[in-house]
Amino acid sequence: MKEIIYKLLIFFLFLPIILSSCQTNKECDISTESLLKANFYIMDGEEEQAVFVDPISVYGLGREDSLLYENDSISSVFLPLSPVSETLGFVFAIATYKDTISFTYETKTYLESIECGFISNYSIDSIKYTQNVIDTIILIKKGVTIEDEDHVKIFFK
Amino acid sequence: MRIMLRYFLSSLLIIIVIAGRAQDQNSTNQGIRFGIDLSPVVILAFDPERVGIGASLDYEFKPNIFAVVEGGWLDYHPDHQSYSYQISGFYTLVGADYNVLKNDNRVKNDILFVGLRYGASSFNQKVDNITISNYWGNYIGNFENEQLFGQWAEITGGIKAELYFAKNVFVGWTLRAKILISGKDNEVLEPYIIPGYGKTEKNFRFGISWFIAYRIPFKK
Repeated sequence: MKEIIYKLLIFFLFLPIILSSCQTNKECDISTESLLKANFYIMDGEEEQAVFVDPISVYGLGREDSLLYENDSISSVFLPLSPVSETLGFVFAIATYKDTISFTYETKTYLESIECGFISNYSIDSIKYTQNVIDTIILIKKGVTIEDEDHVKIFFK
Repeated sequence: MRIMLRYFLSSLLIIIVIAGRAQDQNSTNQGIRFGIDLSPVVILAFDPERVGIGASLDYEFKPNIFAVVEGGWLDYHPDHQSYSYQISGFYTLVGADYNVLKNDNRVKNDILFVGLRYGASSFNQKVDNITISNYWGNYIGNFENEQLFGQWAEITGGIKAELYFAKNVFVGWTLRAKILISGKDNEVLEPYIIPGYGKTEKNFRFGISWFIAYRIPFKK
């Protein structure tokens, strides 16, 4: 019986060495930014229709020097928010027209993991927008996280 | 911290009181066993960000039933360029072990045991210099220092064997199945690790610890 005990003892003494060799030094393998996704539509009679807009440029309000999208032909955009503010605006420039969309939101920052560090999630409170080329905007999901989900529908005229 | 001390001292008191009554049992070698947790040394070798110490006291207050008190301290301080994060605090475990080795299998003072524990920890969470960089520039923030409290339960199993060449010196290991009771729900920021329990990402986890101990015999 004593021999069994000692064998068990020795086995478990080596267990951490065995276990640690399985453990790899993990890198962060996920996207660590929460992006607001807006899809484009027009109204075809009573039905909504997904639409490509061309050419469209999008940039942050006050950040004309850095375009998120430049003369693209796209049907949706991913918009970055930030904990630096409670309200951020984006300019949508389509051909010669411009509209500005402002989002007001709450930020919650959390520790995703030690490897990935801190991530901010957002909860959209309200949306304001000009209507030169935008007909209406509908918020379908308030919570913006690192998951790829649809948050906003933009209906163009 | 004061809660920890109170738990520790009252458990110790219970053990001493019961010890006074149990002098005339027929189990061999009465005494209080004082152990040092060897796991922190092993953990430090593989994860230098975790520094800790641990100790235990146990006493056979009824034949084959041991009252156990364990305690320790952990400082977890991962190094990361985009934030500074630290968890540090004390923990304690109180419980009992039951020796399952039958008398004819029993070699003097060796035991194979199963047991239960209640664990608690009082710890501090400190988060600074969180840098989040994106299209809009750099955001630098921090969270308030928080003093938090966690609790869990354990089902344990393991062995304690007396070294044949050193009387009253024991070595052994303990396998632990831990269930988190509280300490994770925090409005501001959920703690990543609770001293004594481990990473909070799971509410149920396993752990293993090793010890070397010395049994201080009572004079009869």
